[in-house]
Amino acid sequence: MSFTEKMRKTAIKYFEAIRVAFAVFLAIAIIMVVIFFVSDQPLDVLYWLVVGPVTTLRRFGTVIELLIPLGFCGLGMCMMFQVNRFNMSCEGAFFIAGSATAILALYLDLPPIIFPLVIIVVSALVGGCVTIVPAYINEKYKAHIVVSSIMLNYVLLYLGRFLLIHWLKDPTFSYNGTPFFPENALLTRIVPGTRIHTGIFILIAAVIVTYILLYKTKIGYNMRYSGQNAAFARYVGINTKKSILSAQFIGGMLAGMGGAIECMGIYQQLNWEVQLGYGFDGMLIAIIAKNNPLLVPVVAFILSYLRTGGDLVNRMTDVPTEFVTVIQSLVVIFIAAKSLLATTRHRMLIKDSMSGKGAN
Amino acid sequence: MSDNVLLMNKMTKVYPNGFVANKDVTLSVNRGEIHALLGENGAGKTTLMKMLFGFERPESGQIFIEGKEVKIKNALEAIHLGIGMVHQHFMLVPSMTVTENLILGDIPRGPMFTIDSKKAVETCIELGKKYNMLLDPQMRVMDLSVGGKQKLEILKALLHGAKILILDEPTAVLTPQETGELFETLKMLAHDGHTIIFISHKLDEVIQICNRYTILRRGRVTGTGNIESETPSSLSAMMVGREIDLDMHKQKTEFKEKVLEVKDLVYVNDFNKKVVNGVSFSIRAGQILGIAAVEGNGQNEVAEIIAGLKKASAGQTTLGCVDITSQNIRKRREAGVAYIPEDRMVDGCSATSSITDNLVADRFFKKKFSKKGFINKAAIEKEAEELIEEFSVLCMSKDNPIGALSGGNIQKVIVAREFTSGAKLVIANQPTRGIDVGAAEYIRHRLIDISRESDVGVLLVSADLVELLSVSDSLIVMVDGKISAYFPDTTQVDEYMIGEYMLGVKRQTEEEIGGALQ
Repeated sequence: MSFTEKMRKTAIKYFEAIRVAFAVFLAIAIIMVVIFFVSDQPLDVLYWLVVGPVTTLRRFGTVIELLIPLGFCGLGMCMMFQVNRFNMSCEGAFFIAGSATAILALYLDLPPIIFPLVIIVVSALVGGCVTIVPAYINEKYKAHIVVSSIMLNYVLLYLGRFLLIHWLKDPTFSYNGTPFFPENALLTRIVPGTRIHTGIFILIAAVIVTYILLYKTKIGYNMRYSGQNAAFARYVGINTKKSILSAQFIGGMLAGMGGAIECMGIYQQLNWEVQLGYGFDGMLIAIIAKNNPLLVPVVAFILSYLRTGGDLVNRMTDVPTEFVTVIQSLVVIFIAAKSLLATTRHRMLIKDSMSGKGAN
Repeated sequence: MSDNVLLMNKMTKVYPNGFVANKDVTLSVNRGEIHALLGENGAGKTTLMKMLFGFERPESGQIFIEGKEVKIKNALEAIHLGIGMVHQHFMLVPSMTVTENLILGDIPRGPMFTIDSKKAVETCIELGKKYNMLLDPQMRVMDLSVGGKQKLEILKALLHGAKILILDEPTAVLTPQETGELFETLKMLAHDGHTIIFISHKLDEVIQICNRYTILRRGRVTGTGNIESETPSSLSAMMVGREIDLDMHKQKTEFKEKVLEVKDLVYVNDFNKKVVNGVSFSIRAGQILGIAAVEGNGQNEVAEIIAGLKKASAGQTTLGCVDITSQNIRKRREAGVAYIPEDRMVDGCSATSSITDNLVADRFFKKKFSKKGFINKAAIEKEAEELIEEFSVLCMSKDNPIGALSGGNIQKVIVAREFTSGAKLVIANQPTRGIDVGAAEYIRHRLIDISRESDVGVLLVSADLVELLSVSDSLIVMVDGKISAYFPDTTQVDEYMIGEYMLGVKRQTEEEIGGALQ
């Protein structure tokens, strides 16, 4: 087999990765054309967007900090999508986990290390319990899960705000925020000069555990069969309802963990008054990662790099941060456009099947 | 007769998943002939015709129509070139009338923006008279018989000026009488100078009306010539690549202990109708029991109830000596029930999952393939490879999604899984529907083998009477959810006898029917 043939085979194998990279490139290219017309310093924009996040340790730290909540919500949505349920309550689970964290951190007292772990576990359970609500209603009463989960997100948003404003907040602050959490309820910051905290290790562990759960265990097989074709899963004797519900419970747990970790690691108090949007970002990440937990951190990294770069562009140039949202949207559109580069792939496939033993 | 109307020269088509559907396929058709395009499912017949009709772009190859090279980019261009296609699944608007369907795409205009409906009806009648295919112009298409719909499709193509008519498995949906009528029409059209490409895998029909043939196998031409010099077996050899043994060579055997007994089974459906109404029968080890019935007479429900997919409203199901009436699907499977479902794409497989995942779906949780909740990937892959080998599933890789396989190969995967689950009872619900000759023959043989060699009881539900009679040992006939006849020995009956019971013209005595439950 010649070198070009080998290259071609590799390209076909990793075609999805190439496609994502191309989509990002294309989105940036298109937005740059616009920026060349509207901005006085287009080259600066490009510089801050692409290189900005690695210019200082602090900026790169921001990328990693942002990656943590994105990663947890991405994992959560992977679980939902693996069982083919469009349960969007990761947003609410993340948010309400913040309230749970604040209550525990302020009213409980445990030794360090154990304390944050207990908080994470309880918040995860809270996240799972709220996510299971639309999931159960969907299985039992066939209520459309998209509608009920979005509605649930509002319920949780206002419940969280109610708890914060009427109970948890410290009245001496000029804003709605709880007192700062005690030292033993915080996650240790591990890189001086940044806010990167030990949550990153929990994320890595969560990625691995979620992957193993889905792809290496009986439970995961049950879930994936149920998601790919529920009628078929039932016919081979799988309890599809149980699998579908437990996957969503775990999804909610992951989002809840994310909420607790974000609250303890970055904010160190609870001052969330609006939805933070990580749940919806998680959806986007899961879609791009093809519901594969191992790809979630990679996609979350790309997203948080783009966001951090966008932030810098906002501060350093005359272009506002919104344009990063446009880039993001373009990336998603290009990735969702399944025919993008399809012709190229098709041509490669033909050459491949003509040259090798592919032609039968 | 010898002037060439259509030449497709060295056509090659590769699908996006890498499947080579056509490779250097040449098809040459002369004016006024009925040309048979033969091949099993997945051989590339449809792909070739799609390229001719502009639905698919070839990778290489040329198309000549009346000696002129043409590039066909879409269906409209194909129509302008005089190519007409009658699809297997009709492309008609059911809620509109015959006339309205006919004139779609070529509407006679009246004053302003109106349709000249009088002229439209006239066109319809005129055309019908000309080609001897009269249809009521005002009838709604949904009220037409299947044969009528097909006539309308042919008329539509002719109205658009088709000189070359492609018919994709036209007789698959027709009754024998309708088939006869269609053949008369086709002969007349050919006589008038139209050219007909007849896609089929029913060999006797092909020999009956075609002049020449081209045979495809796995995307390549394996034979072409005059039909007169061929016999059904020589044609099928070219289609399948070997001689097909149409005789089942079934050996008589002693039935052993009872494996299944159903008693007074009743199933009431969502519309409160008793679809199954007091059915009782039993199957012994080594016995193949067939159920013959016209579609929708409760046979499908009986199969699904025993498999556990539906819950019986009343009645008892016993497997061996265990009452499984209230057990769920997993428990039934573990007790020894295997099921080949009627709809293989909905229940039988998960189209987007890999072939491996489909093969092990019913056993990945067993001790052999998992330990303490973790899956043993190596054991699973080994099992899949063995099954693919043993059941000769044709695939590029066991990791490809099963949906990319042909119908026959998908069915082989399902059969491979169900036959190796260690079952005592195999329920085969339409096991060979819509799959190619080779795979169908293979599956029938395996059904007989498994009953004879492994002492398995088989329940065969099929719409194919020839298959039922050649495969099963005994037969019950169902009408309206009840058993109307029981034949302990299928060698003593023929299709016509069964037909009378299937239609409810005749009915056996209760005593005779009671024989089904031994």
